[in-house]
Amino acid sequence: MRIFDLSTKIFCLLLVLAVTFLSLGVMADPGSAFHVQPYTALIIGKYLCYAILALSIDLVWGYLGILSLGHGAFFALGGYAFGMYLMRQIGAKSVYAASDLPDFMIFIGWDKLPWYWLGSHSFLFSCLLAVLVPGLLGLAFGWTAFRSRVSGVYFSIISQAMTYALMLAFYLNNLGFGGNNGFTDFKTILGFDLRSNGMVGTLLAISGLTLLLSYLLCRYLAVSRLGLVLVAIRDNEPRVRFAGYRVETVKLFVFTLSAMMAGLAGALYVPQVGIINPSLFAPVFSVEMVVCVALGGRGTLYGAVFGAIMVNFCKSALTSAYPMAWPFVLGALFVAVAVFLPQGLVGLIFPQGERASKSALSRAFGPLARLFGRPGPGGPSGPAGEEDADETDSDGPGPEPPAEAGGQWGPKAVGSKVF
Amino acid sequence: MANATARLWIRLSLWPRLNLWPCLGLAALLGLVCLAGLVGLAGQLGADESQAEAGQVEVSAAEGGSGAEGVSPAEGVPPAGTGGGGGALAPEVTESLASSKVNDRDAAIEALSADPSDGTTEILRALLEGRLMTERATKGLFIRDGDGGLLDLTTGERLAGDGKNNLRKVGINNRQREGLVSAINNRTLLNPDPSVRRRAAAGLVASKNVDLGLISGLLERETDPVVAKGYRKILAMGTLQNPEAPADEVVAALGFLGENLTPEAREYMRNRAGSDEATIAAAASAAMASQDSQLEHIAFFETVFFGLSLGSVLVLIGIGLAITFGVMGVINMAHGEMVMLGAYSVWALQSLMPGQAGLALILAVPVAFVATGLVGAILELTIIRHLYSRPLETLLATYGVSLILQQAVKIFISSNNRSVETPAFMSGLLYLSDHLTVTYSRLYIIGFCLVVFLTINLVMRRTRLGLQVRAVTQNRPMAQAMGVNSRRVDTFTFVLGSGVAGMAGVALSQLTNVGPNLGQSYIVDSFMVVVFGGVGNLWGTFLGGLIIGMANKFIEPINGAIMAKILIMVGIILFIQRHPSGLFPQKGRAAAL
Amino acid sequence: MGAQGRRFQGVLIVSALARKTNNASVPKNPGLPDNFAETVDREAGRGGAAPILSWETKRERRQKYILFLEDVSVSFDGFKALDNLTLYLNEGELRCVIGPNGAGKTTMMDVITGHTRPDSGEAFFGENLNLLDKDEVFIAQSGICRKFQKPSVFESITAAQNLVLAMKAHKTVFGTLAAKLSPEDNDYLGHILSLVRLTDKADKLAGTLSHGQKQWLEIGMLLAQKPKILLLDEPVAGMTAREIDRTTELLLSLEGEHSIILVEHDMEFVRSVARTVTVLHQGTVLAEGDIDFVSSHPEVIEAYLGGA
Repeated sequence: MRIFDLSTKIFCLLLVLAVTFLSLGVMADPGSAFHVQPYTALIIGKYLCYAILALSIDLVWGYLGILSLGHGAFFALGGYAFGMYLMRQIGAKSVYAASDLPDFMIFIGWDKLPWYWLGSHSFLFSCLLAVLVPGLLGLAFGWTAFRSRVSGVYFSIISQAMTYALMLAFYLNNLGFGGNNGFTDFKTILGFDLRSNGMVGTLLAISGLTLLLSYLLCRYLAVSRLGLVLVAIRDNEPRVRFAGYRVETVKLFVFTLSAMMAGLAGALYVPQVGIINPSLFAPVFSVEMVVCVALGGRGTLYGAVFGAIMVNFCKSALTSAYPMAWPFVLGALFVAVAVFLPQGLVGLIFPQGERASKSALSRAFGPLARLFGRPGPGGPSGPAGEEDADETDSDGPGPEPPAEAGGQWGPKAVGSKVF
Repeated sequence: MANATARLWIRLSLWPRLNLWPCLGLAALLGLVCLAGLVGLAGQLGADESQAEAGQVEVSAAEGGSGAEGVSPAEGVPPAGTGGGGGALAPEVTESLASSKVNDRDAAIEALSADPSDGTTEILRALLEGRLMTERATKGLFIRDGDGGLLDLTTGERLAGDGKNNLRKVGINNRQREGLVSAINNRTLLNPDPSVRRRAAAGLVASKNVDLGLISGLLERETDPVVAKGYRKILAMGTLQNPEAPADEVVAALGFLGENLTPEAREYMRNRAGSDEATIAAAASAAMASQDSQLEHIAFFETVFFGLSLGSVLVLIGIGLAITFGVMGVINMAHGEMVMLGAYSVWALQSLMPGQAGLALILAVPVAFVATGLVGAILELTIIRHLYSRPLETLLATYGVSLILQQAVKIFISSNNRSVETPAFMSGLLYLSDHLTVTYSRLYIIGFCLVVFLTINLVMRRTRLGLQVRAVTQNRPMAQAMGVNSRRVDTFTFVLGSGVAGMAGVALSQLTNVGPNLGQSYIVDSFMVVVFGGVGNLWGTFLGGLIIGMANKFIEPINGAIMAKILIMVGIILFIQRHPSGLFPQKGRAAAL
Repeated sequence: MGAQGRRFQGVLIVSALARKTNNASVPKNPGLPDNFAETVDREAGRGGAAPILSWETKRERRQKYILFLEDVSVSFDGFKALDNLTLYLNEGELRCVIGPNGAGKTTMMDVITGHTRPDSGEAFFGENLNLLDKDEVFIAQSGICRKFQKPSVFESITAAQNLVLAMKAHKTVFGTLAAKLSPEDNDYLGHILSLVRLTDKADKLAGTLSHGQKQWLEIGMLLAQKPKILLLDEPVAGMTAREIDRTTELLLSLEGEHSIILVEHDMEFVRSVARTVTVLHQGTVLAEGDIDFVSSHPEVIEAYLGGA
C-alpha cells in the first residue's frame, strides 16, 4: 500500500533520467556529443502527451472498469483551449497582419472575436481553461451517465457518440475554431519563439514533469482506500452500493479527474505538434489510445505509459516506411490484444497475482485456457452479463457455468498486482 | 415472463434433435424472396424504362444549373434513334447550325422550329440535350444516341460511336434553350397520347414565352382534365402578366391559381398584391396564402418521405446490429464494413455483367448476403468465439477487423469511390401530383427495408433458428441442457446479422458513393439506432430507426445537416441517460437486476 | 374478508407474537391449532397479555421495533412479489424467514435495503428513518447491511482489503481518499477475521477462497460495517455440515448484539438458530411463531407440499 513501490521507483527514475537527458540535449550546443535534434525532442514530447492521455484512460478503464471511447474529445478540447492562446499569440505576425483576429475568422468574414475567445490572450487563463473545459464536459457527461446507471458497453457507445458529435461540430467553420483546418502556424508562447531549442527542451521537460505528476497522482489514488473502492466497483458495482459507498459520486470524481488529465495532455500536445484539428475528435483516435492501454496492460499505469509510447513509436516508424501497412498492423494489434493478451504486454512479461503459477505462455493463450479452464463468475457488464448474473442468482451454487456463459470481464490478477 | 420461459423450454424439449438445416433453407428463402420481389419489379422493367427515362430528363432539368432555371422541356417524342432522323436536312440549315456564330444558329433554330416534321423535333431535342455534335473539318452534323452511336444527319446513316473522333458539341445559350423548349412543347401538345400532353402542358406552365392564343385554342379541343387544367393555369398566368386585363378576370385568375398550386405564378401574384385595386390586392394575397399552405403541405410530405427513406437505411443497417449486438451481446464494430462489402458486391457484379445494371443489382442481394455472411462466419469462428461475455474486448477486436477490412479494400480495389450504376427501374421520379414527386430509388429502399425487416422478424419468431437464438439469449446453460448447440447458434446468428448488413449495403449503394469509408460513416448512427430502440428488440430498432431518420430530416431545414446530426446525437445521448434501456426496454424482474 | 380486515388482523397477530417472544414466561404453542388467528387470540388471552394491540399508533409501533414493515406490496408485471406484507423486528432479535420459492423473501430484502421501491406500504428503520425515500447507500450507511444469496465479495482484492472496504468509515470520495487504518481499526478487523475464521487467509485474494469462506467473508464484511440490522440471504447455502455448525455458532454469538433477519431453506439450520420463524407465502406472512409451531402449521405444510 505504498505509493513508491518498486515499479513506481523504476518508472520515475527512468522517466526523469530520459527527460532530463533529452531536454538538456536539445538545449545543448549543436556541436556537442550530447546534442539532440529538436525534431526528436518534439516527437518524444508528443509521445509523452499520449502517455498522459493513456494514463487517464487507464485510470477509468483499468481501475473503474469504464471503457470510455471518447477520451480523445477531452484531449482535443484541452488542445483547442490552449490552441486559442497560441492563435492569439500569432497576433500581428499573421498573414493578415492588420488585424488581431486569427486568419480563419477573417476568411469567414468575422470582425470581432466571439465571446468564448475572451480571455484567450492570457496564458494562465488558457491553461486553466484547458483543464476546466474537459473537466466540465466530463462532469456533465459523467453526471448524466452515471446517475442513470449507464454502464458497460452502453457507456462506451454513447461516449463514442459524444466525441463523434463534437467532431462534426468542430468541422463547422462558423463555430469559430477554424473548421477543417483547425489551428496551426503557431509562432510564440509567452513571447518566446516556439521553435527555438530552448523552448522545445522546456516543453519536453514540462511534458515529462506532467507525466510524472499524473502518474504519481494516479498511483496515489490507486493505493488509497479509494483505489480499493474503484476495483470493487469494477468487480461488483451493486455490492459496493450496499457497502455504503456512493458509487456514482466516486465514478464521477474519477472520470472528471481523468478528463482533466486528458485535457492537460492535449494542451501540452498542441505547442509541440504545432497543429490541432478536428481529427483528434475522431472516434478512431480514442480507440487507438484505448488499444495502447490494452496493449501495455491495463490497471498497471506503467503498462499504459509503455503501451502509448510503444504503439505511437511503431506508428511513426511504420507510417513512414510502409504507409499502407500501418492500418493492418494496428488492426491486427487490436485483435491480438483482445484475444490473446487480455492483460497486455506487461502481463505477459511480468506474470503476477493469482495466476502467477501459470507460465507466461499459457497466459498468452488465454482464450484456449478459458475454453477448457475455470471461468469466473458472471459480471454485470453488458446485456449478456446481466443475464448471467440473474441466472446464477437463481441457480445458486450449482455447477460452474460453461466457459462462454460466465467470465468476469477484465483480468483478476491486474487488480491484485496493484496492492 | 417466467411462464413464457417455461413454455419455451417445454417446446424446446419436445424437439430432441434440433436441426439447423431449416436455417440454411431460410437463408436461401430470404435470398429468394428478395430475388422474386426484384424479378417481379424487373418484369415491369420494359414498362418502366420509357417512363423512367422521361423522368430522368425532368430530373436533370429540375436539378439543372441556374441557367436553365424554370425551364423544363416537355416530353413527347420517343427517345433518340427511333425516328430514323428524318433523312437529309437542307444544307444551309446544317451549315448554319454547325456555324460558330450565335446569329447563324439562331436562324437555323428558327428554320427548324418552323418545319413541323418529326425529324426536326428530334434534332431540336438533341440540340437541347447537348447530343448534337458537329465535326470541325466537314461541318457535318451528328446526333449521339444513348449507346454512344452516331446518326449522320446529312446522310441519315448510323455510325459506330468511335467512327468520328473530332466532334464538338453544338452549344446553345439560355435564350436559345428557352426557344427550343417552347418549340418542342408546341409540337408535343398536339400528341394524341394524353400523358404526353400532360407533361407537355406541365412543361409549358414553367416556360415563360407561350403563345396564349394557341393555348386557348388547344383548351377548347382538350378532353383530358389534367391537360386542360394545365392550359387554364397558363392562361391565368397570361392574364396576370397582361397589365390591361380587366379586374374581374384578374381576380378570377388569381383565385384559380391560388387553388391550383402554381409556384411559377408567384412573381405575378406578388406584383398584383401591390396593386392599387383593393379587390385584386386582396385576391392576390389570398392566392399567395393558399399557395403557401399548399407548399407547406408538400414540403411536409417531402420531409416525411425523406425521413422515412433515411430511417429505412438506418433500420436496414440497424437490424443486423440489433441481431449481433442486441440478441448476442456482441459489439460488432466491423458491422459498417460488412455494409461496405455488400455495396462493393453490387459494384463487382455490375463490372462482371456490363450493361445489365438492373440484373446485377438484383443478383447482388443474395450474393451480398452470402459474401458478407461468409466474412461474418470467419470472423465469428476465429475471433468473436473467444470473446463472448467480454463485450468491451469484442469491441476492440472488431474495431481492428474493421480497420483491416477498410485497408484491404483500399489496397486491393481502390481508395477512390467506385461508381455504381442505377438501373433504369430504380431511377426517375414518381409523380404523386403536379408538384409532388418521389424518387423511385428511395421508394424501393423503403420497400426493401420493410421486406428485410419482416423477414428477419419472421425468422426470429417463427423458425427454429429464431427460437434457438432467443433461447440462448435468455438462458444459455439451460438452452444447452435442452440440446441446443449454442456455439452453432452463435455462428448462425452472427452470419445472419452480417448477411443482413451486406443486403443493407446493396441498398446503400444506390444512395451514396461506394467507397472504403462507406461503413464508417454509418456505424455510429446505427449503434445509436439500436441503443435508442432498446437492445434485443427488433421492433425497437425499427421504430428507433424511423424516428431518428424522421427527426433528422425535420431538424435539417432549420439548422443544416451537420447541426441536425449533432442535435440528434446529443438528443439520443440524453435520452439513453434518462432511459438506459431505450424505447422498448426488456421488462420484468430479470431486467431490473 | 376485506383488505382492511386482513390488515387489521395481521397487525394483531404479529404484535401479539412479538410480545410473546419477548416474554419467556409465555408457554409455547401447544398442539395443532386449526386456525392460526384463533390460536393467537386464545394464546394471548391465556397469557394474560393485552390481547388487542391495534390501538397502538404507528408511531408507537415504530418506537417499539427496530424494523417496521406494514402492508408492503410489490409487483413485477402483474406478478405480486409482495402482497401486503407486514413484519416487525425487535432490537437484538434473530428472525428466520422461510418460505417456498417465489414467496417474496428476496424481494422483502430488496425493499428493506432500498433496492426495490414498493408500490404501497410503509417501511421504517427505527422510529424515524423512512426506508422508502432513501437509497441503498444511505440505508447501508445508517446500519442495515445485507449479505446476498450468491456470495458477493470483491474477488480481485484480498480478504482483509474486503473488510477494510466494508468497514464503517466516512465513506465520501475525499474521506475515502484520505482514509488511514488506525490501530483500533486494525484490531477490530483482526477480531472480525478471527470471528469468521479467516485470519490465515487475510492476504489471499477473495476470489481464491472456497465457497463457504466467501460466505463467511461476506458476513465478516457485514460485521465490519457495524450494522444495527443484518439481512442474511441463505448464509449456509453450499456449506459443509461442519461449516454450517460454525456458522450457527457465529450467528448465535451475534444475537442480542445485532438484529438479524435470516432467510434460509435449510430447516435443520433454521431449527438450530431460530427463536422466531416467519413463513412467507405468495408475498404475505402465512405464519409466525417458533419452529415447532410453524413446521406443524397446516397451511405451512400445505404451502410447502401442495406446491406454490
